[in-house]
Amino acid sequence: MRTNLTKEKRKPVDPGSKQPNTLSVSELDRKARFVVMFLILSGMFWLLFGTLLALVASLKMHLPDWLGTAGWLTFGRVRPLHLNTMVYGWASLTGAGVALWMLSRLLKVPIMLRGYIIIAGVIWNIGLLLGSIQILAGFSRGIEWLEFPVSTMVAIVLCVIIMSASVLLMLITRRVKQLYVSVWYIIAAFLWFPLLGLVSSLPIFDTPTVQAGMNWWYAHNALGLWFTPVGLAAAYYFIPKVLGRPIYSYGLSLLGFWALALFYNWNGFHHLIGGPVPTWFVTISISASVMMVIPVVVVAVNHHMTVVGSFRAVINSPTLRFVVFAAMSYTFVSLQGAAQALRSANEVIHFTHFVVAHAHIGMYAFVTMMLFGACYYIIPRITMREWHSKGLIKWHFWLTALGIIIYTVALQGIGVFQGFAMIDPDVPFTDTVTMTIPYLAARSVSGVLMTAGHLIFAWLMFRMVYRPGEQPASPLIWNKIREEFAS
Amino acid sequence: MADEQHFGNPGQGGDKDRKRDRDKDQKHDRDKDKEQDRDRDNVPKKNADPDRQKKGSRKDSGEFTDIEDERSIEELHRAALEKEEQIPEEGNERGPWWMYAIIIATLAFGFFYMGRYLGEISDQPHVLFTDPVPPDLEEVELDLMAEGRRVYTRVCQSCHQQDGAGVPGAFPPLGGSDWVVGVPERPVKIVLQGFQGEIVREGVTYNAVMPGFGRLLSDEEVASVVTYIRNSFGNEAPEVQPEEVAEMREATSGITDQWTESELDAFIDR
Repeated sequence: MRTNLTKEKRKPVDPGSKQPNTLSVSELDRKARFVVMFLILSGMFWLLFGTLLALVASLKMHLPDWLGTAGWLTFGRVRPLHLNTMVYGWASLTGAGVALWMLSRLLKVPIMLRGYIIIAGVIWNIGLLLGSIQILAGFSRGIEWLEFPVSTMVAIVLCVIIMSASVLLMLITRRVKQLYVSVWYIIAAFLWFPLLGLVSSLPIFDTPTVQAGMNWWYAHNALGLWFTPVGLAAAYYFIPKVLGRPIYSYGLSLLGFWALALFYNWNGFHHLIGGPVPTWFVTISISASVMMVIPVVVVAVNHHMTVVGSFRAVINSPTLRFVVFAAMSYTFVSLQGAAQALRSANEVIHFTHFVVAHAHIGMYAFVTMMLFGACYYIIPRITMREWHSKGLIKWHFWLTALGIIIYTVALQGIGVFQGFAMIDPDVPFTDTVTMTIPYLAARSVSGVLMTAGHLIFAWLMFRMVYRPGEQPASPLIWNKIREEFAS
Repeated sequence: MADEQHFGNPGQGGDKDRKRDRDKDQKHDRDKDKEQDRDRDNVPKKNADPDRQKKGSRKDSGEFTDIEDERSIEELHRAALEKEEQIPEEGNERGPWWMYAIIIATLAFGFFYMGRYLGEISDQPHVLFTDPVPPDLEEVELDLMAEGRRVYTRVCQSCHQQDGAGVPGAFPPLGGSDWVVGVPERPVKIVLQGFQGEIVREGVTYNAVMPGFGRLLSDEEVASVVTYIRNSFGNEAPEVQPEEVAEMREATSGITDQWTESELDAFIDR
């Protein structure tokens, strides 16, 4: 069977292109295969590792004695490591793979510096491993989102800089005239993140308030200027690609991108409301957080108007199902973020489980679901193989989607009550803790659902790479699509 | 369209679907050239792969087992890939009016908020959210009795009781105690370092350990609470000033254990 591939060398065909020397998409995908698979599979390893840590941390919240005897298994080490492996392992590595693949497709050039990216990826993984051991051993840096030791952060940033070089080389040698909106976001992300990482690693933030300012400038921007652009680039790529319909409006894409670039960078200090930082500093940040409504609404309108009328396709396409769920979550989490940045809302929900759930809608319901959707589209194309079971993909979707919904409802629901109880001087502090316990247990249940989803994803990936046992005789079809479209 | 069978995703759909979509959605008119391009690209591929038609019809009839054609999944994917559509060029709609309303409202609110709560450009936190600190604080006279009552309620009352009567057998009474109203050193030192050992007062034996509160209470608080117990529960004795407490704290700074009756006597006598 395989010999057919080599025997029959097809001439590059590229519909719609006016340039004769353009590589065909299958040629681009073949060149992207190893590097993109390497990044996605490394990301998947860290996803599973981070999921395990998440479960342990979640269970400890309502079973405080469990695994409490060994120092390296205490909450104070497991929980930061969960965050760091998910952020720098799963979302960054997989996100980089997805972004590089999209860029190769959009600029019609193969991914550049592939060998160097592989080396960078290996160093990145080793850095994560050493950093994880150090956090578990108790050598955390003690700054949220930056718990990894500076050495690991610098290694990661240098690896991203190598990828940025590849991205810029691809941009220079591109074979298209116009840059699609996804390209803007990806280029920007690969310029922003090294800056964030390097600045946060500088040894100049040595007074507590300045360090706190840097901390939240970094942490909020890592989400907003690294994961969000990659996620939105994927949404802008896959929605029209899968639907075969054009993005609603170029002008709105432009507005959404530049408004994000203008406003997001100011947002981080709303984490310090009530803290000992200058008032004007916090006020400007709150204003900018509210201004984020503009890019979010614009992007939401742009996506919604593109999808509207094709919602059957959302149900039938595995990619689109994840991508649209993620895009809707982006709108939801961003509008929520703008509202909770206001001082009056913040004084209730600050220090409650509400904020924890908010962060998870951002990193999970938006970024992670987007990456899942992207993987379901990319991997069959670069491996030339088909997913083993469409039923399992559906299970994956429903387990993770239901998981994060339960998570959100439970923690944000109780978070509001917890917040009101905490600002009421008549309620003893212990009561504000005990009232959350059933909801913390619900969070563990949702964690089990998400874990099951991740295991299914890992199993599907394993089938994809090693192909044990029988294979589907033909590529899987998400049935009903044709009928829907025909009727 | 038979050739759509290998494709995992919708909307890579056949010309018919796309055309229908396009017809339905007149808003996204594309230029003629592009359409022709696409049509031209699709035509040869369809002709080049007649197998596809065959497979499609087999599938429609519900037969999956008898696959005679030699095409692998790789090949099917490759075929699918090569006819994969480019992302269609973006439309250029203006968006609904309410979107602009939201944008304007957001800008208005954002700038209003900034103007309203910016405060001064300084390094001061909580400007506009706390009462301004008066430039010269007035010296507030320390009311030893009032402050002493607060400290007593918070610290002492759980053992010595609200009326200062103590608990027989454990905590001796403060009312009528010669230690309380005698030289101020005794009560101050007991408050600072605590007391242990058996004492007998009016025929009742008391034996419990009182911890020292030296680390917990400031000189002002110790002075206040000692003044309070010296002038409550029927007692009457001169006030104790914070300065005196500071001196005694200094003099006993090396002592970490609780006093016993004999130690206390020895220290006072010296």
